[in-house]
Amino acid sequence: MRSGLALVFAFALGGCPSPYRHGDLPRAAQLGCLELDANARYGAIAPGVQLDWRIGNACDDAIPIDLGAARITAIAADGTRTALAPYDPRHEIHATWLPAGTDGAESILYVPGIETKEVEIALVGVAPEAREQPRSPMMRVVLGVPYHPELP
Amino acid sequence: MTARVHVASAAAVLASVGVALRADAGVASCHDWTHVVGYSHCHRFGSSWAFDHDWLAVDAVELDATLSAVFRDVALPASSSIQTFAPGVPPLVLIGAARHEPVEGFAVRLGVTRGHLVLGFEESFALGPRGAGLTSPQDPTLHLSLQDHRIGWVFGVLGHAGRLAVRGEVATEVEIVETIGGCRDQHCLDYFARALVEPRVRADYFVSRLVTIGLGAGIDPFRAGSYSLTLALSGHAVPYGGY
Repeated sequence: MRSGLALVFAFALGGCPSPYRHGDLPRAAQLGCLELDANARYGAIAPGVQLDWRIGNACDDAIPIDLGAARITAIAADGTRTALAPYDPRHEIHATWLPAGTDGAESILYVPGIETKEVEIALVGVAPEAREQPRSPMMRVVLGVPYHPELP
Repeated sequence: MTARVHVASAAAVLASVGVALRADAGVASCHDWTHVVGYSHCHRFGSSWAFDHDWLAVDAVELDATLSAVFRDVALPASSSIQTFAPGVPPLVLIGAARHEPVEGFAVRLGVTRGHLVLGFEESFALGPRGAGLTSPQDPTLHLSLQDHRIGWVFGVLGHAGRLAVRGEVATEVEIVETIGGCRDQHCLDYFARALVEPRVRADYFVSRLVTIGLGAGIDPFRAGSYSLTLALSGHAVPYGGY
């Protein structure tokens, strides 16, 4: 009977994945408990810059996160800066909660589709820690191949 | 979209619930599915990692499995009898007054938590010490023990305070009580089944992100003096139950 109980415990606990821990996203920016990373690339299905966000909560409590609050700026090869906006026709992007120890991913397309070599991401408002800092935490992501709308 | 908190063992349960809820939401198919927000009719931002207290969404369900040591007191009917299978031998009659017998055992439970609501399916087995208590005036040498088997649903509410989770629940179960063993030269066995409603309280402490230990207690309001105590070890699919 004891071996049976041990099997039940092993099944119950062994099926649980390990939670997110600090540093699981090695290149991530840190905003308190929140760690986030983004890769930029051409829009896979429409003109624009697609950011593939990855987020993780390294703490023991749920944290609020609002990816829609990030300010995205496209920087062209000549240094021209253009503010981008998330493509969200059904208003799906909203502030929500990332549970303790969990991670996730979202892909968001930012428009308009203009020449872009680099993307600057201001994280103001994404997490409470970002709002409390006197200067907005910034991320810069370089596109592997600069985007130009006139190129195929 | 991926999330580390997916648990393969819960996939079947979630799938069935998810299909039902998505059907309720009017989403029939996903002909243009992509993982980019805004380009999928079936996309739902944060659906695999966030909880936002959207009570119609399936993704905020937390799953847990619990194994408990159970100590309880079983109330017996006032005039319990024991069936004897020897020809011509009348049924033995247990001591007539209503009485209680202690039993010990274990319970297994699978539960889902949605916000502050708890639903679980539980089954337990418990045995009484042989020869302790149950006797018959017709056969003083008789030594019987009880086997208590319960199965049913548990529902209630849950609150969190840091690493502590406190829940108030009501168990609605079927209880099968058997008297076993002890008769000389013939096998004695009797059982009866009855419905059970047991209010409970339980406190669990997260000793790690996915594991809690807890203490629980319950009483049977319809059978005076009947109670149960549990020592629980639980595994959770979502760290800290999503809080």
